[in-house]
Amino acid sequence: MSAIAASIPRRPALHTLRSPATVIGRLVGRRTWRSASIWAVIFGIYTVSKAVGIADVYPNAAALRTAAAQLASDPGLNALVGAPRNLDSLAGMLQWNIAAIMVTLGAIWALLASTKYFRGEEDAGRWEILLSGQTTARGAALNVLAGLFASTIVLFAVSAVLFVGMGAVKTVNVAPGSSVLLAFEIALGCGMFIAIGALMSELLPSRGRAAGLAAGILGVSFLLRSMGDITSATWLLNVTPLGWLEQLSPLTHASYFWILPSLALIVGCGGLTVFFAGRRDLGSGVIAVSDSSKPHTRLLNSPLAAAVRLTRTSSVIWLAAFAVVGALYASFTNAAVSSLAGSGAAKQIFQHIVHSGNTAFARAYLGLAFLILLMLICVYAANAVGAIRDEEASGRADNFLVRPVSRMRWLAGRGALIGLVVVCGGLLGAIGSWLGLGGQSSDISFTTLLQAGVNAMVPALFIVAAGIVALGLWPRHTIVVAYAVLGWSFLVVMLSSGINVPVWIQDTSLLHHIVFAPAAPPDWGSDAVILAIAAALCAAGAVRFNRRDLQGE
Amino acid sequence: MTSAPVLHTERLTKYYRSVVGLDSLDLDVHQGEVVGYLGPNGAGKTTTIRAILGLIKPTSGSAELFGINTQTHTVESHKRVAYIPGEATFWPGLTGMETLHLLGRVHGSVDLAFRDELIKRFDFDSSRKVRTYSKGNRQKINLIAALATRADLLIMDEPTSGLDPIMEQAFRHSVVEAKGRGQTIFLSSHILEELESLCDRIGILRAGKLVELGTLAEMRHLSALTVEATFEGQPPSLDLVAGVSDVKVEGSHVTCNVRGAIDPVLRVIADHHPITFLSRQPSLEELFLSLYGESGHVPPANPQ
Repeated sequence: MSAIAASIPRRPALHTLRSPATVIGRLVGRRTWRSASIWAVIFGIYTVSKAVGIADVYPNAAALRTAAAQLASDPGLNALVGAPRNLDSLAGMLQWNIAAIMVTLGAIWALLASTKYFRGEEDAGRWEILLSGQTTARGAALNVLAGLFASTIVLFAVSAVLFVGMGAVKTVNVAPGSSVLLAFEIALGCGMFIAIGALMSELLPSRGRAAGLAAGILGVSFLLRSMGDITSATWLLNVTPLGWLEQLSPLTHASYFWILPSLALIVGCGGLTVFFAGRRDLGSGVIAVSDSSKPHTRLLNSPLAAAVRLTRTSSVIWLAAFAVVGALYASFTNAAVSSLAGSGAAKQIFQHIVHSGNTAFARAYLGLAFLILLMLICVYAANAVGAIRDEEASGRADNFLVRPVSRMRWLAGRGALIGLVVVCGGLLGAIGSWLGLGGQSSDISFTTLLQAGVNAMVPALFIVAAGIVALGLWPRHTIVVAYAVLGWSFLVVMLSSGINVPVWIQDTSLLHHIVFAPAAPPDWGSDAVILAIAAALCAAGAVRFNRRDLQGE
Repeated sequence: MTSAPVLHTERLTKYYRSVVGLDSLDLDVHQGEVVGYLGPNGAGKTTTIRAILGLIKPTSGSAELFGINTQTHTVESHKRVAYIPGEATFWPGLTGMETLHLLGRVHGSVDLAFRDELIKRFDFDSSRKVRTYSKGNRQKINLIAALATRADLLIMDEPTSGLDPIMEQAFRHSVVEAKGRGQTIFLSSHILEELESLCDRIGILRAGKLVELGTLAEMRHLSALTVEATFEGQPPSLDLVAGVSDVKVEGSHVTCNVRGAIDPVLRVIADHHPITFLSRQPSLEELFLSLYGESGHVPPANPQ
């Protein structure tokens, strides 16, 4: 024994590092707290602007009561932002205006972050090096959950501080406890979709599939919540995470009971995630997916055809979503008109958001519907242009570019494909809204809706162009630039609807230069200028892309 | 014999900000040659290949493939070239065969019968999805896709990365076969045995600069001749013999390195009646280490 010990060379002194068992959790927390904080600040700005705006538009209880009577029966708005509760108070009006939107955005952040750290890291091969450390698969899963929840706590803390600050404004006057509960509602939504994203990452063997399924769950949850709000089937609110959060009602008559199912969902999904993490092989999912098949070589003949093949499923899903959103919102046009047409306040809101002027109310309502459609198409465009960069960063683009394929041809093909989906999205959105409208409003023709659809394509094409310029100049920031243009434009439009924003700031918003048809006829001149600028940006980005080094991650 | 080179670079230079990636590379590779490209990590091997292929833009200088400038006429210059990168990144949802089909179609020409032969040779299961392949299996896609094109020039950047020894043998067989067909091969690697057995000429890169280029025989002068001898009794002292260094004595056995004329050390050894005597030329590994030092790192700059 002593001879063996003597034969082992003496180890040099090693540094003892802090808590190796929690290193993964700290790493994930370190990499997500910034985005969580940014979202919290955006929520704070949005809430403050809305609160001040509502206090301005509805200066007294009488104005609030009048608006409440009209807004409460609008199924279109109810489907979008939830059923109105206690609209006769500023807190109730504020909650109805902001909570659902912020919860949905928070949930999207959460599921993307969750699937990235649970499955994306594994897909990229970075996971196994971490798992080879002083941890187990279950320990690592627990760590990732802890890291993501820690960032959610940061989001909660920052937004709570901002909301409490908002509540302290004299004209707003919301109790600090209610403001903190509003922040908790958003954090609870994030927590649920972190857990759902984590569980989907264990079930399915790729990030794309896991994120797709988690997004599908969010979509179904949104749909069930909408149906619960606009039909007599209010029980639907009891079976969907977004319904639980809506019923929490943080700013008015808070119903704490709905925290329980939310926490149960988090614990349940989180527990299953940790359980499955220890049962499956690295690189596989709990749900078996066929790992082999006969070759199907259709559409594998060129870079462009391959791009069509590789993105066709997600493209079809996006296109279906555009058509459904168009149809859903248009189907509520008559109900919206009958409930809101007489409301000066509602008219004022619509005027602020979609600049509807004195136009018929149905057109103003559809202008808002097309703004939502337009935003959805822009989100697709930002994601798709980010995927181009991902092809370069991962090295997959090299497979084409070391062969007789020019960079211009490759980039033009990918860009054209996104453009095609954007164009089809605008057209399908218009067709969907025409079908949804179903003759409810005789003065809105198919041509009018088609024009609105074409008009909705314009900002999305500009987003693509902004992304391509970033791809040429700052490739590692492509998706950030695309989303920054979209986010800033949306933020300015929303702020402008609530408070007086200087014109020069409004001018920096892409959406400020778009007429939200059919609330008003599209400004084809303005659209043409935007498209011309987009074309110039595309050309500049492509030239720069052609001249720079290809860059990895 | 003085035909235009298949691959030609002229003062090809690449800086990453102030860091030199490649320094004034002048290189010619001729038809039918197998040229090895050797250097430690970070020496500039991949930078060279990516600059030649036009994937990165040189700071100055130029590269030509078949007389075509790769920066100004990138697509045309790629038509007779196949590239095997060291890292294999493909689309996880496609199968191996679908990936091979796509890469072949994009290249423009493939010998399908040879591709099937290569699939067998590399024992590759092409029916599985790329996401399920190991690193070695993904690398087989690169090898099969490139070799099946029968391109006039094969550019390889650490092509056996991830392959097992049996597949490495299959790779070497494929390279010999390609050379036999008259294909030109530019092979970057730091597997010295691979380069020694396959290459007609070898270039050695140090800190972005090509410090040696020639046949192995031409490069032998870089390192000393190794001499070993065994005696009945104590070996003679060789430390003070002209040109001798690194003398190691183990009992009756002595090993040393000899630079320059071998006569003086031969005379001393012969005078002491050796039982065995062996002299051998330096291997590529010894040549490489003589340039980089035992640690494999760049030695301090020579004052000359």
